[in-house]
Amino acid sequence: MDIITKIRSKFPDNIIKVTELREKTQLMEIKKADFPQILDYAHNSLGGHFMTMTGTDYIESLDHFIIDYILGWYEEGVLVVFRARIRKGDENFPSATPYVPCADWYEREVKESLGLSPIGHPNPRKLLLSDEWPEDIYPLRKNYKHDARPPYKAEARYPFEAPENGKMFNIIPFGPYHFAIHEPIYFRFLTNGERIVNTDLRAGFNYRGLEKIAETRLTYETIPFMAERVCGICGSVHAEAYTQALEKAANFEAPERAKWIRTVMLEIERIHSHLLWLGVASHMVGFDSGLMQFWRVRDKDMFLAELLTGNRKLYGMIVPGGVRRDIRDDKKEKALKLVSEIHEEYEELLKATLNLGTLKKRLKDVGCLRKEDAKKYSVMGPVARASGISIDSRRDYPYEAYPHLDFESPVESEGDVLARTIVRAHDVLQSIKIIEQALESLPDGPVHTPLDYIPPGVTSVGLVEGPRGTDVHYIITGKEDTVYRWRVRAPTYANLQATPLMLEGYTLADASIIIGSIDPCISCAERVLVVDANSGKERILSSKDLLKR
Amino acid sequence: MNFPVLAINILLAILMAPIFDGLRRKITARLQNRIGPPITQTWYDILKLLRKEIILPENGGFLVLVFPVLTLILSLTMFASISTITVQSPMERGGIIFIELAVLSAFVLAIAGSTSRNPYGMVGGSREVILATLVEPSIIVSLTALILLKGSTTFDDISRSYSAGIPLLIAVVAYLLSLLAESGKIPFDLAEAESELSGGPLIEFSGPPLAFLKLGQSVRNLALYSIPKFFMIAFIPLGLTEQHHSITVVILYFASLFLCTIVISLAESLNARYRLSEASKFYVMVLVLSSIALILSVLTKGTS
Repeated sequence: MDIITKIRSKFPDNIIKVTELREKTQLMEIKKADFPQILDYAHNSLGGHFMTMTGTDYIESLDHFIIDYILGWYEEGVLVVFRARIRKGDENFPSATPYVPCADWYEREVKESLGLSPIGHPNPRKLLLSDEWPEDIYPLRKNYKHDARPPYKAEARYPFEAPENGKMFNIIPFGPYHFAIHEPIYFRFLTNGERIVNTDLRAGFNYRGLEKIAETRLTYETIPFMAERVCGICGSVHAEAYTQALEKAANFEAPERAKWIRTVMLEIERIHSHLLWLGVASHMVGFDSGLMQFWRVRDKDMFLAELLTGNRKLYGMIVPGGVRRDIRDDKKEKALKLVSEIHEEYEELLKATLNLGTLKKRLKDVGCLRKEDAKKYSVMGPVARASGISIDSRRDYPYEAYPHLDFESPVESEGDVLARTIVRAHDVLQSIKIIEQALESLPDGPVHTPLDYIPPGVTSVGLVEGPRGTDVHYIITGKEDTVYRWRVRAPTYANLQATPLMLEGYTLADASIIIGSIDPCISCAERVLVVDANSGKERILSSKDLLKR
Repeated sequence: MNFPVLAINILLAILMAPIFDGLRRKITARLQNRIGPPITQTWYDILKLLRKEIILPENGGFLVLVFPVLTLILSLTMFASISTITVQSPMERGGIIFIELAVLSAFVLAIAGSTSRNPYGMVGGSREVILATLVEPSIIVSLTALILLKGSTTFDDISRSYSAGIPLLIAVVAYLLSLLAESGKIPFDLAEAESELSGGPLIEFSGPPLAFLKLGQSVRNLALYSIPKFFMIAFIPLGLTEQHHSITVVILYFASLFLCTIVISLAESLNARYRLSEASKFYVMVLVLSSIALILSVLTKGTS
């Protein structure tokens, strides 16, 4: 293996063991002290894309924790899991964030949820838990009950970055629920006039504890149902990513027909998501006709979904072992007709809107993300493709019916909001092409065969190209018909970390469209934890606080 | 002061202003393939807001109550200077009063936004001031061209003479373009910019104060929509005499209101919101246009 060999030759003494999990997926066991330098080399010199990072509690059975950093090389289609053990009583590890800035959030999350502190982390503030959550209670440890309620800790306040002394800046709060982005996230801009000088970010308002519930209360069969509800827009993507990881762990291949139907569902969802975004983006720059027209076409896509699944959204189609419903031939004909209608109306609309002068002016040269920065922050999906990084897991990590289909992945090089818009706009046309091909050449056969045996203790990663980028689900299988560890990494989690970079130097007028341009899906990025009415999340920022700021 | 005419004007303003705002919303909706709200919707909004409680922001105090009332009074006073469905106007030298009030009321909202010390309100207020300083000159200059060509600042006289010409044509175009920003709708709703500034200067207003502000703004817009009538009269030889009151004046007045509503709806549904820098470029062009109208009218006046 090329990449493994390179790392081996660079660090001959630091690698404990390399095992092949499955084809093109390697597990490299190293010492925790070597994390920063090996990751620095793999990410910055070898160009590995940061996929996800997670910690798992093995205290009860093996007396240690493990930490996994997962890097992917899209061109080669390779995944490498870097794993180190952390002994009980020595619950820390050297932080890789100073070298690999995109590890920032992941390490903070591991610190909060498992109590493993990243030493040398430049920004060790809270990420997902509420400010009132006690410091010494770690909800993802196995000895923490899913329905436990932590003692209430009064009067905590998130430490926002203070402006440098002696400089005059305005502090402009953007959120926690700003109605331009319709998502619970709090940006805090330091502005000079209307120009944004610095951005601070507080996330975590939507942390629901799904992973803990999955690990304690759900079975393999019921998790896709929950996974679909991680996000309202890319539900099937999460169900597919989980199912893919599980089927890989069980060495199981779904029936051909099921694979093709899954592909159709994923693409219908992509069209829906992109049309939704194009509408919202139009509204953000004050082009309300665009909002109405794109959503008119989007409604047709929802009819299409209803025709095939019975649901306008949250299709509930993808389950381990196949799909829940078959596509009958008469429905196939109707669906093809609807798709061609969508195609026709969408092309007409795109021609009319993308040539609109005022709209173009608002999108061009705004929120630029240079290719180097995009690489450094390992951004995903359309954001990466708009900055000239050609990554698409449909093509690079082929799954389901994608290897048999003919499609392109649009790439732009400017890296501004206009480029992101064009990438998404062209993506829709490709999705239409994929659906047409897939429906026309749907193979015969069953749509579901049950998975019989899932071996315990298997690490497995599912990668799915969602509308916003690569969705990474990491699972470790467990003994009693449920996962031991399930880690969801939605693409927004990666993209959001790069937004302060995109915002810097632009004006307040462009802030909402820049934040909007990554198509943020906050509930996706923050799945997980314990729903607790007592912890008083709303106290993070009461209306009183907002008035003071 | 001609009090019967004034009473007609004020009544008309208060009743019709929200209706024409509703009409604008309806036309915009139809242009966007929507059914849209009924044209009485703005009235429903105002009546609903009036029934709500008054909440004073922490830093704004009683000023939150002062500005909406001030806006409404200033807007209604604009109606005291112009002739609407009558030939007679309520007062002499109305042209000057109208220009002054148009400029003054534009700044009132900007100041209202800044009093609450809400950061969005302040940014919105500063945008409003910048926009007003860019747009008001065009309004002043194009109206001055009209006054100059008619040789009188009283709207009665302006209504009576017929004097079509190229300078007046340029002036009316400049006026309609300035109206886009004056009405505070997309593409020039920079100050309120819902998705950027969450309402800007309006952010701290709610309930009855907001109702008064909305009513005041729509009355102000209606007053501005009334002006193209005088341009139209200039182009149509009606031969209106001293005591003459014809149905043509009523038709022309409403034609003027509909024209402005349609122009604003079209601009609203065919554009994205301008940035401040682009808006200023646009209005520098409009100012140049209106200045040309003024210079040409000075020249024609001088030679005739």
